[in-house]
Amino acid sequence: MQGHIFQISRAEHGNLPHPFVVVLEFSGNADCLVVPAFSADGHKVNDIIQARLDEGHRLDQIAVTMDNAQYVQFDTSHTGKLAHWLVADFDRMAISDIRKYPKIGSMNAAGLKLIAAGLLSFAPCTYRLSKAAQKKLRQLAEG
Amino acid sequence: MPAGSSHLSQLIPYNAVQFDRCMAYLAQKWARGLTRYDMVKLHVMTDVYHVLETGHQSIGGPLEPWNLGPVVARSWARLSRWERRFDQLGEEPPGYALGRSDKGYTTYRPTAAPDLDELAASELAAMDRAVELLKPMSFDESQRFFHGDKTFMGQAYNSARRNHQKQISWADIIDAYADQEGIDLTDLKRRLISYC
Repeated sequence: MQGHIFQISRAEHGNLPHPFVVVLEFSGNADCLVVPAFSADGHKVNDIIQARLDEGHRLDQIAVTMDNAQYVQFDTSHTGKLAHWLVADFDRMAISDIRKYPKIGSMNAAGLKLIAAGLLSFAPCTYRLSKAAQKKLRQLAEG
Repeated sequence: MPAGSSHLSQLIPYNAVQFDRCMAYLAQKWARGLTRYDMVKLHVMTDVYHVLETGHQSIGGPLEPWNLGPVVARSWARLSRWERRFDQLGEEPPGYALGRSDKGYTTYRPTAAPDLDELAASELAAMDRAVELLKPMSFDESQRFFHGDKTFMGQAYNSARRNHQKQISWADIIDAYADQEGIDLTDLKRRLISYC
């Protein structure tokens, strides 16, 4: 599951933008961290980023902007686009739940390092990362 | 789905692993066995306070406006299933010791100590607030808090009931809380994301 990317799309989303997420799985846990991403040109994702900027965060603490073509191997017909990976808006989900969404690809080790570094960059601004998660993210970022 | 829908009602799906992690901490703070009612209300208020501070649920699942007040149905169903198995077969769920309260309700005591390294400080703070709010309340006081138009939770709950919504909107909860506290939470609402 480490680095797997899932499309979060359900009928009720309609035409609203929906994210894809990359999974950061840590051994011994039955849940994982997920970091959402949207195509970089979307209005809503840029509004989310602006809301964080308005709250006083730095851009590098909010999102990792990545050319997915370089870091993601797609299983589907998706083509890699420039995307904002919203590290400040990570969440924790049960692995059994994330498996219910369609897997569309995997992020390579270099991409995962960037995501981990982005999460750690946001860590001083938030109390949302547990000690265990920070320790494992440091290992991932330095590994 | 980013914010923009006023009916955004579930940010992350119900996470049973996190529920158990939180209950281990909450039971220690509560200092007596937790009933099913205690647990579902602690779940609701932990998530409410966590969303109000961070824009993210901790345990997850949509808050539904039941007659009993706001409830995450998957949380209630899981506990109900456990109680049936305990009543019929004497089986206890993994990680919990079950018993009976003075009033005959099934009570839960997590068997493991809370893993504080796995819980974020924001989650501990939200759980502390939930316990401080709910522990002193009688059942009737709790019902008034969740149903009455004088509280932010009651206002959001009643809005969902009046509009025949199956789920309580996070925007309504945030707006009612912001009104009550006289604070601006516009940016928080703008950046809500749903994985559901």
